[in-house]
Amino acid sequence: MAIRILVVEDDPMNAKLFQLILVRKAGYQVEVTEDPAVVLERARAGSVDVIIMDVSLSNSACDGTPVDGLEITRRLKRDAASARIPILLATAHAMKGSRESFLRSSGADDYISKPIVSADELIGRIHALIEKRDHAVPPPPR
Amino acid sequence: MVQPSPDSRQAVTRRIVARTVAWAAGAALLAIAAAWLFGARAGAERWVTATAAALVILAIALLAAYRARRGLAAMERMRGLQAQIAIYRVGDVLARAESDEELVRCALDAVASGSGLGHWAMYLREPLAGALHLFATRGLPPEASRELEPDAIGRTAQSPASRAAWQGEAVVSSERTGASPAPEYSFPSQTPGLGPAPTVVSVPLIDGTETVAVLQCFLPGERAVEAHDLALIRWMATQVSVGLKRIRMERRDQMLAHFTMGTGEILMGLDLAGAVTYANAAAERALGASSGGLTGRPLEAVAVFGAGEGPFALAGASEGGREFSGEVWFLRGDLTRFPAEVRISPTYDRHGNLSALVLVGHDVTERREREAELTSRTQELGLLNEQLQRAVTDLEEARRAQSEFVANTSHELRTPLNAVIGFATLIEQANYESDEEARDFALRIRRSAEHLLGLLNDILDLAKVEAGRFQLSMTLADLRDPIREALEAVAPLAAGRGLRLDPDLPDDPLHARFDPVRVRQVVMNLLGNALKYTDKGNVRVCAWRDDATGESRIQVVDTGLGISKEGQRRLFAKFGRVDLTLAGRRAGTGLGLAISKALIQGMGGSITVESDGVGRGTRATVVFPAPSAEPVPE
Repeated sequence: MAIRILVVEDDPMNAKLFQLILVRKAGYQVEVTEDPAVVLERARAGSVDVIIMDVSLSNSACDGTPVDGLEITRRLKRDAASARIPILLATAHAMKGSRESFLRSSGADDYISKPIVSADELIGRIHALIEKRDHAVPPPPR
Repeated sequence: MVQPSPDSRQAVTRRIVARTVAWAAGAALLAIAAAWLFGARAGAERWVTATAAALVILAIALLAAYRARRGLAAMERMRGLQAQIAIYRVGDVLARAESDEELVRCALDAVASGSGLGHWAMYLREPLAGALHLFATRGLPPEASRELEPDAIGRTAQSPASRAAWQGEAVVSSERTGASPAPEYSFPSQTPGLGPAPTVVSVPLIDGTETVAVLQCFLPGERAVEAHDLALIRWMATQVSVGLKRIRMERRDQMLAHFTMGTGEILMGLDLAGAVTYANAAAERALGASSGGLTGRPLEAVAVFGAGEGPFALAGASEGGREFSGEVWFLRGDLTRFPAEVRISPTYDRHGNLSALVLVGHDVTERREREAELTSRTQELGLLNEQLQRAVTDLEEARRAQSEFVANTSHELRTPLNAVIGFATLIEQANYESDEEARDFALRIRRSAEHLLGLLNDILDLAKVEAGRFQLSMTLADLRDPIREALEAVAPLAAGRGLRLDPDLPDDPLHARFDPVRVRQVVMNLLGNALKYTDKGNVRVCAWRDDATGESRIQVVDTGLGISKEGQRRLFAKFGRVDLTLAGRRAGTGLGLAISKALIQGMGGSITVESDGVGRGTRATVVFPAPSAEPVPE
């Protein structure tokens, strides 16, 4: 069964790009959304292996209050049903210190900065996250 | 005036006796000679001769006795006169002497010359019941000073002076009377006219209950101390005591006068009715100036008390004997006034009756000024501190905004770059399924690159505007022109989105001062926003002059998505795009409104964007002030 990736991304161009790279180069099963409710629902349902999370989500809101990727990550990690799902923060916020502060404040598992220069690196990190979560998972077919 | 010698009484007596003897001897010789002559010539009986001689001798003796008596009486008169004169002189000295030394020396000289009592010593006691010391002598040899220095005053005192001081009454020490000085004490110095063992009379001078001095008189040992001698010595002691006291009081008066006249404090004496009876120099200087002296004037004429305090202060002091202490305004001669701290205290006479009031005042103008200055300085400092803190806060805010802007810029540049790199990589690695898809990738790369270019231009614009280096070409022109140009420019976009543009411009020119190029840019930005965020309906542009204020207004109204309250707050923030759900249609950088606002403000106008809420359209308004007559710098 193919690895299922949920991409949380507000920029359609970038969302499309993630989809192309992950499907074509890694053979993952990819879903794209920017709706927090969808994210939480998929996570609880256990129908996702790795979440790639953008930080700036201009249009996302939970119960009327705007939420960003960090807040959604916090909620996922707080919930026992979704806490074990690896989350990779992917963001164009790449100033000095961003990585550490984002990881610490959200509880995400890893961080990759945009622009993503190497698709192989992205796939490698996703693979590492899955390995870490579950040693039984075989390396993805190349 | 007869100048009597010191021992005139003995000399006069000797002279009178010598003269009487000479008279008697002369008369006897004369009588014997006459008797012999008469007897020889007349051959008279021898008894007759003897009788006659005896009669003559008797007569001569009687005459001599008579003369001697007259001489003695004259001498007594002389003595009385001299004593009187001496007493007057003592009184004179006591009234005039300016120092203790002068007083004692002159008084003793005077009394010695008149009384025949020529040997004196004076002792003064240190203040506060201290030791007794020899102060002056008269008619005694210099070496006597050492012998006279008294021992300590007390029960076991040996020296006559100390014993008198201890007992508080006159002490007569004489070998003849048996009340001799104690064996340890003697007066061995030989003094002419005094002998080796004189009688010493010591009289204490008492002020109140305290012996303050001792006066000592030395009399020849062989001579009895008579009552009038004692009386004279006692009188002398009293006189000297009074004289010394006078000198002390005069000195104190002088010192007090010095104090009151020399001090800068305002001192006034008041009677019980509140009239000034005395004013010192400082008071006259401060208050009297043109009014010709303070004495006799009521205090209320020169001092203004606090509300209700004045009568109370004076009444309290003059009736209740209460001290008043507080601040008053003193009036100067020229009717200006100054603040002073005053104290009004009652004074009492020796019977304990309230007799007068004493006012002590101190000018506090300078202190008040210093206090006022201090207060204003403190306020200034507080203000300065506030400004400083505000400046620091502003600076921190600016720095925070700056670094936030840099972070946001980085984010905004990285996002399209992600697409450029990603899609380029896909093409490069031939990771496309058809030529059509490859072209789509290339198109995405181009769009992203164009977006990056727009972003770059906007960032540079904004930087220039914010740095104040944006050259605005202000002219007085017709506002309709740049609006029309903007409408033309966005017409294709509107057509592409199937939206209607409704211009509503006045028929007459709408003059205002503005930079036409920049106004066109702003209107295009507003129209672009309106078209971007409107799906159906129309975008209306109107312009008019507000007759009430003379302002010119441009309004862009759409029937689009509108903006939430929260969104309206972020509208003019840099990169403050409100809603990106329409991302497919957006080419915005998030800087447009920030730039527009800076430009319009640079032209002296203002810009607002309102919406009644999501889904209810948006209304952007630009206001230009009424064109003033004065030229605007280009």
